[in-house]
Amino acid sequence: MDTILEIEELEMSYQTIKGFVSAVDNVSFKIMKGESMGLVGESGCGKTSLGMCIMKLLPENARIMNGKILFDGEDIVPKTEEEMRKIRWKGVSMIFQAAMNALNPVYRVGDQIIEAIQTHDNISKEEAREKVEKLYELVGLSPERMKNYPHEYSGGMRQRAIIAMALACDPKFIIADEPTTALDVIVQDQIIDEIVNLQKKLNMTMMYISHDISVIAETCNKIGVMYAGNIVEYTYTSTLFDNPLHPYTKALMSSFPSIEGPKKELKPVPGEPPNLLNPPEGCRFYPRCSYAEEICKKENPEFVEIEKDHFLACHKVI
Amino acid sequence: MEMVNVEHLTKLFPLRKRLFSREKHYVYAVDDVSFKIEKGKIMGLVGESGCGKTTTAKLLVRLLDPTSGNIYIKNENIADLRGKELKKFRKNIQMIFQDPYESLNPRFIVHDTVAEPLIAQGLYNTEKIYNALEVVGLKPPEEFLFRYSHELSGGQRQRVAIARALVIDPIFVVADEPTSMLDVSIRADVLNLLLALRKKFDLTVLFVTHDLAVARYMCDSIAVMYLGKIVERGNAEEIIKNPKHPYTKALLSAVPIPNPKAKRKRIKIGERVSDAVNPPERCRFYERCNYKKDICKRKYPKLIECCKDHFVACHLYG
Repeated sequence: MDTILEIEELEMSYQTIKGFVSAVDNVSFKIMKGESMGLVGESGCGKTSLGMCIMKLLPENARIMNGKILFDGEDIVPKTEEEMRKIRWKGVSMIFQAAMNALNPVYRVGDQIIEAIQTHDNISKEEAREKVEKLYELVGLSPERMKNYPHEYSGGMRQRAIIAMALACDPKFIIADEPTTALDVIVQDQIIDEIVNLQKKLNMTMMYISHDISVIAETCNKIGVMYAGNIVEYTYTSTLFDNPLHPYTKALMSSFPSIEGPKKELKPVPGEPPNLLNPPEGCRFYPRCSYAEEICKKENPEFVEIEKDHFLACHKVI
Repeated sequence: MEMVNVEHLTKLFPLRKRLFSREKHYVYAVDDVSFKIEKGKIMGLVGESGCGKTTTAKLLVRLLDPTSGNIYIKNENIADLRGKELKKFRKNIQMIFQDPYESLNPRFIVHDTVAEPLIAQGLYNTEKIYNALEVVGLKPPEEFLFRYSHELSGGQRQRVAIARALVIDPIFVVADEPTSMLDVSIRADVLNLLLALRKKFDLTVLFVTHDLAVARYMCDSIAVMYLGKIVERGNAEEIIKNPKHPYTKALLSAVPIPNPKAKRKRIKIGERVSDAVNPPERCRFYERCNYKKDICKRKYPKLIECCKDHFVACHLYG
């Protein structure tokens, strides 16, 4: 299988008046063609920042300090805005979180997608329109709705339109950033179902960002668990659920209630996530970790492959 | 002993009358809702957004005036209380709001926030404030008393909100999605705190949530709401394991399960079409229902007891 995205020791910080906030720190992983990777973690742990790094849609105060982002074998970190524009949407595209804000309220939805296609592909408006019609059918919307404005769509339909837009230029890689967070349970379920089906049908490579480990469990074949800017564990979904190794992964799993099986007591993680302005020395999880030892305070554990395709950053298990 | 007994509670919101139009349009936010909560029990109110959960919660604490119906708390009907009597009664019922970032006054220090209900009732007492903070786990209280809410984390803020609700020794607490704004690892902590407090003070709680897994974890009984009506209610475990109403079934089937091996069967239903403005006589769920019959179009089904302590409003039963 070909590697489509490879990230090596990526480090990204936001410059603030109080100093640098290290939002993504020493992150390395690979995604193969056709895979779907879930990125799970709490808010503020750097999930979205990592996604934005790959798109290079970073705000002005963000700096990529170190590391490489190899997309299709090419490092995109040194690329200029002009060069990035060619990669975005055709190479990497994104399904944004708030579907309401991602669409322009004063343009018809269909026209917005046509515009996106025409910016990247040199085709006539008629051809673009036909393409959008096909996309609408693909994501389960009636092509007649193309002439409607965003406020005439329901939440679920808007999210479908956003998915259609992300697929518009046949991207090689899609980042879905919490695509269902603002939706009701039933609509969320329909959208997840749609994404999973599309992923299979188009053999898409996808990175799915969510705070909800149960959504990831159903959509992705690999999971990366992120905590305070670090990816602490990365492996196949089934392996992670059968045999979670990092204390944070274990804690995360036992703090989720489920409607299946017997009622279990939730075990919360003590404490709060660290302030990334001055993250703790050593392992960033050690102040909340019940297995912490002396070494955890001093050294940040390396992110290593401890079994085949099972990556982990923890002193205790190594 | 019944602590809370709600009978035929209804709340209509008038829509603005059009010029020259005679008929008035109403949103049936809460329509003929009845339920009871035993002393020391937690009842969960679940449903999609816009189904009337929060309106019901606000009616119970009399932040809104009911259009009709009775609310008995400890055998006293509070639906028609006015002025001084209402103010006196307010110390018995308290509310915990959804978003601790908005429900705390940013210009108040923690002491002021927690003292406010006591001052309003003329019961100011420093010891009570200390106790309340200690009870919700903000220890030592001295350290928190003089902080502003921006100096607290999300979990701590929600604890302050809980302390404010409990400082006045209420007999009935309405919690409106108290954890939906919190992070996963902190959410479990706050849920466990609420359960512990319930045990300690023998509190009666109405727990409003959209998350069925959380409702199962927290509640003794669950009521499912759809467009202003309660469609099903009963023992929590019974509702989760043996749902009767087609809407409850669909809702449960849409909850993702944090286990990649669990294959759940999706029940497909359409997106919501009707809203609660002047709803017709028929079953509110009619358009989306997979089992609709002729009678569903003509008559709204009554809430009947299908098995012991399990009520359902559907023509399929009885």
